[in-house]
Amino acid sequence: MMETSALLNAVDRSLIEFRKNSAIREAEVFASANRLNVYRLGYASNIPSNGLEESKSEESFGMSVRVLFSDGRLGFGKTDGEVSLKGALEAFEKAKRSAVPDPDFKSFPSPAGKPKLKNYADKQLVDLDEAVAVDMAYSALNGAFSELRSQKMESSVNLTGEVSFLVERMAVANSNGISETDESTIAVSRMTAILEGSQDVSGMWFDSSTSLTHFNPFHAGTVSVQKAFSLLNGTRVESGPVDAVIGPVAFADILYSRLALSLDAVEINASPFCGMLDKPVASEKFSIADNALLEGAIGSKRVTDEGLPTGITPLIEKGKLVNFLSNDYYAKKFLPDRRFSGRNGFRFGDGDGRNYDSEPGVYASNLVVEPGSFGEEELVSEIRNGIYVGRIWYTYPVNGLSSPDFTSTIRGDSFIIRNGKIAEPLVPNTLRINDSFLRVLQNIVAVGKKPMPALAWGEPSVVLTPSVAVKGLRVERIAKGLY
Amino acid sequence: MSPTIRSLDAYPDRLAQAVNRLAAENPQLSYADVRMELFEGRGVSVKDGVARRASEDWGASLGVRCYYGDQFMRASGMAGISLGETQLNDFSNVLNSLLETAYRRAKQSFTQKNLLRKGFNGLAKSIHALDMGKIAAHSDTVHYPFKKNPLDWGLDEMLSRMQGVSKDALKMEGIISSLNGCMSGFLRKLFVSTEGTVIDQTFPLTEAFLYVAAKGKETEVFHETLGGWGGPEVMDGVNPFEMSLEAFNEFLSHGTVSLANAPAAPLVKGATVITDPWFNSLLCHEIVGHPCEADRALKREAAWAGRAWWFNSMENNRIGKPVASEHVTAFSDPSLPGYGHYKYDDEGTPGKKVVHIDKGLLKSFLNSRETALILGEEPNGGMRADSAQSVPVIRMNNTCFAPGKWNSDELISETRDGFFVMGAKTPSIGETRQNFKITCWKLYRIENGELAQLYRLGGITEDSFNYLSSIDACAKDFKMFNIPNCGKGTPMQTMRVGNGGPTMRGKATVCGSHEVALA
Repeated sequence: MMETSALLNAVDRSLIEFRKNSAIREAEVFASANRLNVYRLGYASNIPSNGLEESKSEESFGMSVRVLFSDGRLGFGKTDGEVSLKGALEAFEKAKRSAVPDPDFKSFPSPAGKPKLKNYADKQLVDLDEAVAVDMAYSALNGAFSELRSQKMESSVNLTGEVSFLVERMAVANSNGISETDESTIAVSRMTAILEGSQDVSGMWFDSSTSLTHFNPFHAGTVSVQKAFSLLNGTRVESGPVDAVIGPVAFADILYSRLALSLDAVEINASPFCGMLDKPVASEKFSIADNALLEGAIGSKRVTDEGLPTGITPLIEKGKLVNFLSNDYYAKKFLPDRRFSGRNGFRFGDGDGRNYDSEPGVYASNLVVEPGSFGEEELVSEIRNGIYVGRIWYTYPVNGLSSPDFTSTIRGDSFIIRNGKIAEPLVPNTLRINDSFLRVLQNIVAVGKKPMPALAWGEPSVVLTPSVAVKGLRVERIAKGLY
Repeated sequence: MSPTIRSLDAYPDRLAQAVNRLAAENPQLSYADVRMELFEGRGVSVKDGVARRASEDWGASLGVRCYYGDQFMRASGMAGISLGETQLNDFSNVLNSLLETAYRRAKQSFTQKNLLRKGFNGLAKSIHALDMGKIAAHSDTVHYPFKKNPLDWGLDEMLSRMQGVSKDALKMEGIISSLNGCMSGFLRKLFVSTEGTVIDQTFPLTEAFLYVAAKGKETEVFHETLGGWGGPEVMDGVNPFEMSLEAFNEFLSHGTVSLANAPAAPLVKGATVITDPWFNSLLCHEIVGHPCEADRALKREAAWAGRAWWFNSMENNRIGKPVASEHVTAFSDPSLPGYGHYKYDDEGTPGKKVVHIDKGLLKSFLNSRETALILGEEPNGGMRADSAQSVPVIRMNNTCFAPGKWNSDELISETRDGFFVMGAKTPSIGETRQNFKITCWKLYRIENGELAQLYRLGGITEDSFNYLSSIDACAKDFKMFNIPNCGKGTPMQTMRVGNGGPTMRGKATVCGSHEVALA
């Protein structure tokens, strides 16, 4: 895997060459090298399976250029598998061939202070031995198996999940003086344990870390099984508005689906927040910010993929919408509003790291819900009678991107709340939520004090949120699966 | 000179030599395959009539799978990489290094798999040896036909056409934003295995994406893809919508403006719903296609995409039993000309037509070689990957409801009080696909056999078994549509698939805005 210093040398060297070209008004050179190892787990006690279904890796490196030509045209070109002046020149030729005038493009970023995060990549993860990685994947299975054995459960069990390791390195330089590098490491383990007897319950747990030392896939396996067992002997509830505590994993899922606060979405009216800047959109108890500077959080980044220092961007403060996420392109397009900052210009690929093969989009880093003052038991007590929603499934904006509506089914890790206490479990897959995201935000009556990180399938960003207590969540009873 | 799809001419032999050498040198290697892909083409994007980006490029990738062990125990290892010119110039070393990585990975997994089986006797008895269903070795070259060469569609012409489309949309009263893009090119895929299979397939691809936002009484947005395996003729009406790019843009824009001024749909339980082929393409995708993928039925996808309600275990499942009314037959057929068209899958298995539901009875699944053996079926060629560096997983191909005998007009004219559900929007599906809520583009009330009030934010929701069992009529007007972005796998792979069906009649809850209180 290419060293960060080699990436930086290549982009700096290429930029020197570009500066000599009078046809170029401004230029940016980006290089990246990523390695993603994924160990996909699959076990069923009653069906032939492999335990470790897929043991795989994907690796890519290359560079790309964005060039503003003297005639005002803007071009993008990339070169796969080459990080050198030769690669940059090849990318430049592609950019030149396909350049078009983009009146919304103003300029590439200029240096804007020093990045705050330092050396947060973990050398152990960078140098991770293949045998150790495979062993860690089996460790997640061993954790789950050990717990199942202690519970004397040997049939009607399904375990699926993954252990993954991502190493991403990038360097970027532009003709306005930016020259930056970044290196990050991410380890994730997720396990879903399903007990499929007559009751069919499912528990999920995960572990994530930026360092190998703090990474514990065995624990994720163990806890997922423990959670599944805690859900036995569940009951159902009927349709209608119900007061609810929405746990961190479920609330993160709703935020992933509906918190469309990036300027690229706003630009095309693909957000329910269009026209709502400076207006109340949520309960005064709710605040959320993008924070790329959290130490140890796997969404943290030192610089953006345009070379700007990352930072903290408050989005909703005490219920009022105060800002949108942006990259440098949109921040300048939407001037003179100076609130918009290019702190979120990233080139996240399909879960395989910061990738040279695309231009910077707008992505959150760590979306952090400001903790409140309520302990978990106090939140439950606040709701008094209702449900605790621990995990939801397929949360989608079914009524279109401009509508605040969403729907989702309650998947597992959920309970009845009775007389201010957690009571029996809620039978999974028997309730569908049909609600408006804005109404959920406005009906938040209390926010927990203990945030936890949550991840979603296919999402590069991370959400850190405590549980929230919500009045009048609209749910509809649906049938359990038939076997 | 950049590599082109023709640059792959020399590679099948090189791939075969490399895997055969690895097999000869490592007796414990029980199987290996190599896939290599190259795409070359052009694309543009346009926002509100103004060019945003253009590109003319190529990309290539390489992936290998190795199986280590014998009939008593096997484990797999995979590795993939994106390729540039540098790697193509040093190809032997790159390929051998990748094969060694996958082989070591499989070997290490083999060791741990044995330990797991020994350490957890009772629990691990279902950990199996990883066998694969037998297929004959094939050596074949397949070129999918086209009328106009995708590479003859120049960037300037492409850009000009897309800008024209976007400007046309903005001229329409009510349209406030138009975003579109298109691409055209060739994808060439090579597959070689230690069993002697050598397959070379080339697909022409042309695809446009159209997004419009309209402002009326409310804001309404919609997007759809117009595409197919073919050249620029796809933009001239040779596509599932049978419309030119310009006509389709006008159709979408007009419709979205009318929706922006329509009332929100009401909530009506137990309504008679006539669903059009476009809507049924998404319905079939979600409640038939995915649960008929054998990896999902066998619970290998449970964490990310869920299970299939009609398959609990090898002993307890609905195979041969009713899962729908007798009017419902559903199948997958990769020989049809949709996005799920291919002759061989990414395991080198010939793609075969598979009947999933035959007159209401659950029959069989799309499979891989491994899952075919578990289910006691013949391999039917369901494995695909979104690039050579990704691992193949079971993907629906052209998965559809079969046509019936009715005229679609009759289904509407015979309905005194009901709803016509038109166009596919967004799905949300229960974990075992046992329940769905799927929204449509347009929803019309049917009154006394005629289309009446148009509603926005419409859709239907129901338990899948109840809904499929309620189907009492299917029309003759079978059509298939192309879905460009089906997500599956970890990391998520985006796949092109075809889905379709005829106009159908059933009973469901009609749903609308979530601002409308639940009954």
